[in-house]
Formats: sequence, structure tokens, C-alpha cells
Amino acid sequence: MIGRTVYDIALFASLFIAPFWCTLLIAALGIFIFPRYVEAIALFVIVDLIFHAPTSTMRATNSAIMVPLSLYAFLAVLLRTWIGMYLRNRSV
Amino acid sequence: MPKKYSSQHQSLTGFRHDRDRVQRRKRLLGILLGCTLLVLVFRTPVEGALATLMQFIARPFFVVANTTGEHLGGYAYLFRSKESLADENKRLKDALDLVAVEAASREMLRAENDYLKSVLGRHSDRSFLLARVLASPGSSPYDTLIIDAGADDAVIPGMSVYVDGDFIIGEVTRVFGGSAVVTLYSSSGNEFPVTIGTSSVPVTAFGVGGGNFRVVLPKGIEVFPGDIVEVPSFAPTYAGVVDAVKRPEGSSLQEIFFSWPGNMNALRYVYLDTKEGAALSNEAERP
Repeated sequence: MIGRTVYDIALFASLFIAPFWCTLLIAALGIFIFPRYVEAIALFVIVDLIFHAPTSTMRATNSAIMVPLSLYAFLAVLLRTWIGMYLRNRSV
Repeated sequence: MPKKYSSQHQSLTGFRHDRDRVQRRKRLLGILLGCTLLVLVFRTPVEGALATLMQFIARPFFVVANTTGEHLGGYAYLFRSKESLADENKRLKDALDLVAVEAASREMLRAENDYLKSVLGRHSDRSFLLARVLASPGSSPYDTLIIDAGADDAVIPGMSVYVDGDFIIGEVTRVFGGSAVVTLYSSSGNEFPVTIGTSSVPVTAFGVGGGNFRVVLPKGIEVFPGDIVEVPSFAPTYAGVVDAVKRPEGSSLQEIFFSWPGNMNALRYVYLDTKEGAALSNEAERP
């Protein structure tokens, strides 16, 4: 619990002090390390609310990052499940 | 004969399947609820209120991060050798001398240009509002800046944003109380009218992100790396400097890539054209 809290603080702090690709990497790792890591979803909603302007790209939706993020999160959860199953089968 | 009840007729995992089914249903309902909430947030005026709240919360963090970064950056010399510092010092001094000479001649030309325009009855004076950049384009997945001037400083959407040297970089697209979001013209997919080449050919530049643009022209138009790309306007306004020209063999077209001079991610201050802002405001107030 404490580890996850510290990780969350580091994730949100990276939004202000690090380039966005660092934040993305930390969030991606968090999805793999922690179960049901909804903090990543919350982070990207916050990114959309702070940085997104109506005339930015991907005009199909007001929120430009949620569509690819949702896809990524779905694939990440699947991948995590498959990797977990593979490692469990290897150890048996 | 009545069937005897035995454990073989009842699945040992029956209860676990029911539990799993309930869990899956709950998870699915949770996801659907989350998606519905997101749609409600981003497709309704709730987004504006939430964005204002987020900006209000995030602004002090941006200020602290910038201040701390600047303060710590002053100690970077401790980790460098004396020789490398001396070399960089000499290189920067030489560059500064060159820039100072160019700036002096540029100021003379600008003054002459302004005088000639005033003789012909036109004045190209601008008035600028200085704003500090809180978040550079590298901090977000979008090509946007966050600046520390907002509605409290009479900033309105549509105001043009400049950097040193009369280079226009974008416009204000969203305004909050003490901050604003500036969308750069180099946003991917954005189209920007400019003039390029020795003949000042009007073309459309396509943004590719990060302060970079791409232009496609016929090969007959001469463009060279280092050429200044201008924005058609009365006052001198520039869009960038040509970095590279690509002329593939067998094609009648050439691709020109230009960008703003300097590092967009190291931008600290920008200038907002308040005179244009006043004109936009008057236009908005007109019935």
C-alpha cells in the first residue's frame, strides 16, 4: 500500500518535472506492476484537462488521449495476464 | 429408487463459478460506469469547470518545479571540467559578439522600415504582454504551452503569441483565471499560411509537431537552408528558418522543412500581442 502510494506520488510529480514520455513510461510500468492501476487513467484525464485545448489534434473527440490510452490499458492488462500465466506455467 | 444425494453429483467448484460470474459482472458494470462518466465529463460543460479546477491546482506546482529547476541548474557547472567550461565560454562569447553585430544592423533596418511605412501612412507598432511559460510542449502529449497570464491579465482566446525575434509560435486557445493554454501552430495536422523563398511565394505550411513545419513546393522555386520563412502581415512576423530541403530524384516537387530557431522545450518567456487582443475583444462585443 505504501509502495503504491509512493509510486503514485512519483507518477504525478513526474508530470511537472519530467518530459511527458517519462510520465508515460512510469504509468505504463505501474499498469504492469500494480493490479487495477486506475491512477494511470486518472493521470491521463488530468493531462487532458490541463493541457488539451479544443483546437488540438484528433478533433474527433474533445479528449484526445483517452481513446489510445484506453486501448493501451486494455492491451497492457491482457499482456500482463499472458505474461503472468507464462511465468506461472514455466515455474510449474 | 430415489437418487441418492452425493458429492459426485454436485460440482465442487459450483460456488466459485457463481462468485467469479458476479465479480465479472461487477467489473463490467464498473468499466461501463467509468466510460459513461468520462463521456459525461468530456462532452459536457463539466469539462470546463474541471479544467479550471485542475489549472488552479496545477499552477503552483508548475511554478515550484520551474523555480527549483532553474535554481538547481545553476549548480550544473560543479559537474563539468574546467576545460569544457572554458571552451563553452569562448564559444558563447564568439556567438554573442556575432549576434550583437547582427542585432545592431537589424535594428537599423527595422527603424528605417518603420519610418518608410509611417511616411506612407501606416504604422506597425505592437504592444506586448510578457508571460512566463509554466509548461513547455515537452510536458504534455499535445503541442501546447501553459503560460502564467490569464483572464486576470486581459488575455483572451485568439491572441497571437510570439517569441524573441518576432517569431510567431501560436495562439491562445483556452483561458483560465491566472493561466492560459497556447496551441502552437506546429501542432500535427495544423495548416499555417506563410511565404517562403527569394520570391516570397505564398504556401501552406503543415505542422509536424515540436516547432517543426513541412512545406511542399515545385522544384523550380529556389529555397535554401537558412532562408527565413515569413508570415504575411504588415509588421515583420516570421514563422521559422529553413532547416533542410529535400529534392527526391524523379519527382517534380521538393519538401522543405523549417522550424523555429532555438529549443522549444527550453522556452521561458513569450509575448502576447495585446493590440490584437483588444481588436478581437471589440469584435466579440460588437452586436
